Amino acid sequence: MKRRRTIVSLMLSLSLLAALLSGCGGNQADDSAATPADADSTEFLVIGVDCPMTGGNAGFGEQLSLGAQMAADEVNAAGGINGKMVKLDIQDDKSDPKEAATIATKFVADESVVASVGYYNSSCCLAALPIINEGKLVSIFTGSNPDISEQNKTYGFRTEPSDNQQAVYAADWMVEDGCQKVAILYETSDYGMGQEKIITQILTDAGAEIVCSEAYVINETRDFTNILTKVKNSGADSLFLAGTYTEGALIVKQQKSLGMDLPCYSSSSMFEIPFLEAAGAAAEGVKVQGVLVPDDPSEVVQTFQKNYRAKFGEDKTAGTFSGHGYAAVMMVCDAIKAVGTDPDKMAEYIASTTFETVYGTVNFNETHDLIFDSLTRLVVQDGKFVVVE
Amino acid sequence: MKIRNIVKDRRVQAGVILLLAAVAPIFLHTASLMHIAVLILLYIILSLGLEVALGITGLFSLCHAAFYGMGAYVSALLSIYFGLSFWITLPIAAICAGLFGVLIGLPALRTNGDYLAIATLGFGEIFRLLLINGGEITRGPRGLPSIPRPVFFGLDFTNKGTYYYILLFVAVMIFLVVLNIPRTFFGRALMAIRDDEDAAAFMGIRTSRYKVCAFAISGLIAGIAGAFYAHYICFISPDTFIYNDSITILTMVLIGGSGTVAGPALGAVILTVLPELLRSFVEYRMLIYGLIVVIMMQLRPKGILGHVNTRTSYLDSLLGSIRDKKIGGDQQGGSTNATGT
Amino acid sequence: MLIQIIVNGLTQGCIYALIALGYSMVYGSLRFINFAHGDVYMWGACFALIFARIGNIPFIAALFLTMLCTGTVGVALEFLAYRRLRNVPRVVVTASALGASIVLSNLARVLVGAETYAVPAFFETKYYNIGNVVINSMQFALLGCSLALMLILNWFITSTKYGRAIRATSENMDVTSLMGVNTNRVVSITFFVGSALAGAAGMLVAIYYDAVYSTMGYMAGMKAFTSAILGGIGSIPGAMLGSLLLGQIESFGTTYISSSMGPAISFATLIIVLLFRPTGFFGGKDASANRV
Repeated sequence: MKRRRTIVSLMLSLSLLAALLSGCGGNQADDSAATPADADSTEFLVIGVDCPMTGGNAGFGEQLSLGAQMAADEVNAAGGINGKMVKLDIQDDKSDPKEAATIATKFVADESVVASVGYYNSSCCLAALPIINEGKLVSIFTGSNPDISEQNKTYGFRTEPSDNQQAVYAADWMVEDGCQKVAILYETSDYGMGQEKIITQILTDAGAEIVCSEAYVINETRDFTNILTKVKNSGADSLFLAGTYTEGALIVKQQKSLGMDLPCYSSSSMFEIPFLEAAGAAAEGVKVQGVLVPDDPSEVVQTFQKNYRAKFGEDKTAGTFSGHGYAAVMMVCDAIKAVGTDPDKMAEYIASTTFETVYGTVNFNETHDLIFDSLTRLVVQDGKFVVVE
Repeated sequence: MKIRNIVKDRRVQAGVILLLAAVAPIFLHTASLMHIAVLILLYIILSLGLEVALGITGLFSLCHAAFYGMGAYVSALLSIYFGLSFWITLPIAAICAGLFGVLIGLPALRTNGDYLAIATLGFGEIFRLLLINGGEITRGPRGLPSIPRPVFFGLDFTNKGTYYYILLFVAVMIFLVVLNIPRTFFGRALMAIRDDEDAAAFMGIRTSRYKVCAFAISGLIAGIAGAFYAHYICFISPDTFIYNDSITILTMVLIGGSGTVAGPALGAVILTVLPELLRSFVEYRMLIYGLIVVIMMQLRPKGILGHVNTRTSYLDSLLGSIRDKKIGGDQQGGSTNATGT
Repeated sequence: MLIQIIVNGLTQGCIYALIALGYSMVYGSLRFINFAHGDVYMWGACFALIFARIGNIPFIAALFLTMLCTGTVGVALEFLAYRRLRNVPRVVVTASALGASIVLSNLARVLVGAETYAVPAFFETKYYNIGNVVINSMQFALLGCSLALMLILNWFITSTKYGRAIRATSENMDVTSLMGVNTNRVVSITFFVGSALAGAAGMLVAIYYDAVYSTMGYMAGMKAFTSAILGGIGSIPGAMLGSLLLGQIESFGTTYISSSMGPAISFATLIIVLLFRPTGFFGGKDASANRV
């Protein structure tokens, strides 16, 4: 009995080792890219997608991957890039920087992966950056932490406006609207804390007063009634929400339940259709800013929305991160079409080209951040986001 | 000597495994595989640290990720703000993590069993919240990027192989230390505390002292792993060391077999490789992982090696070898070998 | 302002109470902490979401159905993950519980979805202004339901045959089985009742906060567990009173100390209680006799 167990355990470890060597080493991308029937015979260009598919941010990860998928399918339907089909390798980083590092290493090591996109959480971006830079893998990030600009970003590019930009535009709007006593509710993430600092500075410089500044824990705080009671008692005349839409929706709903009706401002984080769905009637009058406007009458955006709904179901609307996923894959395919798959050439191309994307016409600046002249201002009216002129 | 006895000899088994580990990089031809190998070694070190607290002393510690994080943050902060070399920050980080273990161990003396688990869990969460609210020192949720790689006369630290061999050396050292703890009086006292704390106290063992020591050693070992992690990935943040990681390390120890030394190491290998193999099942990966944990606990509650190794405590094997020697046992090597794992 | 804080705390406390009762009952019978209980509560919220989406189901009926379904989930959980592990070191059962927790929350993510979902309303919310304090009808419903459920539970435990069996099993399972009681069935019933209460809590929370998501189990579970310890784990009145107390501590803590340290306040409370009065305020089962 003892001998059999020892042999079994020995064989188990040997087979595990074999599986490790074979399974991990040659692990090719495999997922539901809509490739034509004879795709097996042609080579694939693989684009890695790293996003949180499980955990608290899974909703954003899903948006990112669906947007990327749509772009890949469109490119393939048009015949691929120089005859080669595009395939996506979608990986789940669970919003854990350790996972993001492992996934980035995997992408770098896999020769068929020509670029990577995604990286929703800033900490995942920062963990992956050294790896993709050392491994020369062109990557497009959507983390918003300003530190990403400061890191060495030869091969990295960032499409989400950094917290600095977002906060500045939002604060300017509040100053223009004449807010004098502002209450700020921010989440304890780099996003929330970064925005709070900048908004406070700009508003105080402009002569307004921050009467209340409260933090809440992201993904954990659900009951804002105490915080809102404090806001109510501080005599604030306006509210700024620095956090994701999940908590934002709860805040606006609970605000109503306490009988308060302060004008709410936010930057792009509230600019998501799920925010409207979650907040319902309480979202009326909330002012947001954003880069991808669902009702933008421009043809590019409308086609994008229509195709997205047609592909993934009427109940899914393309949010900001679907746009990011789509635009990132399109940019990468553009670059490959123009200069091929050499990382240096691709990086140079992306850094120097002006792209026509679902955000409009954009280009990257010297720190590889996407330049937005301004963020479109919108307000919620009748359950929809309406552009403010 | 029969082949069976050679194969069963623990020293031969250990030698073979060590040989395989030493030549493994030749077969791991991609950076991605090497990265996984490095992660395996880090988790082996972490599991061995938890084994000291859980397997040897019976302390249900759920704050292991906090020790891990303490070592990483101390080492990273010292390198970034004071420019100290990794080889200096490593021992300092380990000692700090060990002291943190003492800090947690002292109040934890008042609790036992499940309560200890919850208390350590609470401490771990408070540590994480302190990191987030640590202001400009820890930079809160933004984390610490650009941690410098170690420097050592001409060794190339952009090559994962360098990390691998250094970590292999460290892992083997720690393995030997943990292996030999039970052979000392200190170790036997710890095991006595695990088996029956009141009896141990009656026998004159100052249980509080030993329990705090066990926490300290557990923390120290985790701190070493943490320091290496910080200078390998070169970026750390409060969400790198969370409650879920404590659970992961706990399951590694349990699935491998707590109470043995090779068990946690085996558990670390299995539970690091498994999620990698499951990567293609993006949607269902965590689900499958959870199912495997539950199923393993049903089928093999003592862990894989806990069942293979029919001894339940080191003391048994020690007594066994003494008994055999007294009787004049002429059995060589094999199952009565007192150096068993 | 003060009254508002107390009212808010009361609401939170009732929610924790419903969840904490599950922890206490299971600990009483089996002497182990069911780490997957928070996810059972989350499943209650998911069931509520499903029933709300079906539409045209009156509130009380939906509550009843949710409790039924969640209770079944709890029984299944016990049968699959804990039944074989009665005589095994506590660490192993805890690991099994943690694995089960991962399975439950990921199952919810796969089956229901990864987003945070709003719950179609069962009834319209009205707001009442009493002086400086605003209370809405949802809060009344929540308080009312929780109190009703706690009273029903109390009656069940003290006055029915099965209640007696549960109390006997938590005193001493072996002797109880010698007395001819089918302790396995009693354990299943304990899990059913505890999970049903957690399911009710999940539904009430889903409606009150209008948010259902697959990771909502962890924090609520932790806080409810803290309440159970505060009141004395294993004791049912302890769980109720401990929860109300924790609700108030949190309410005052987040208002006067800092709202971002909310979880830290709960954990600090937990640790202080564990260190200085592990049997809680109302003297629960002594867990220090529990070996790993």
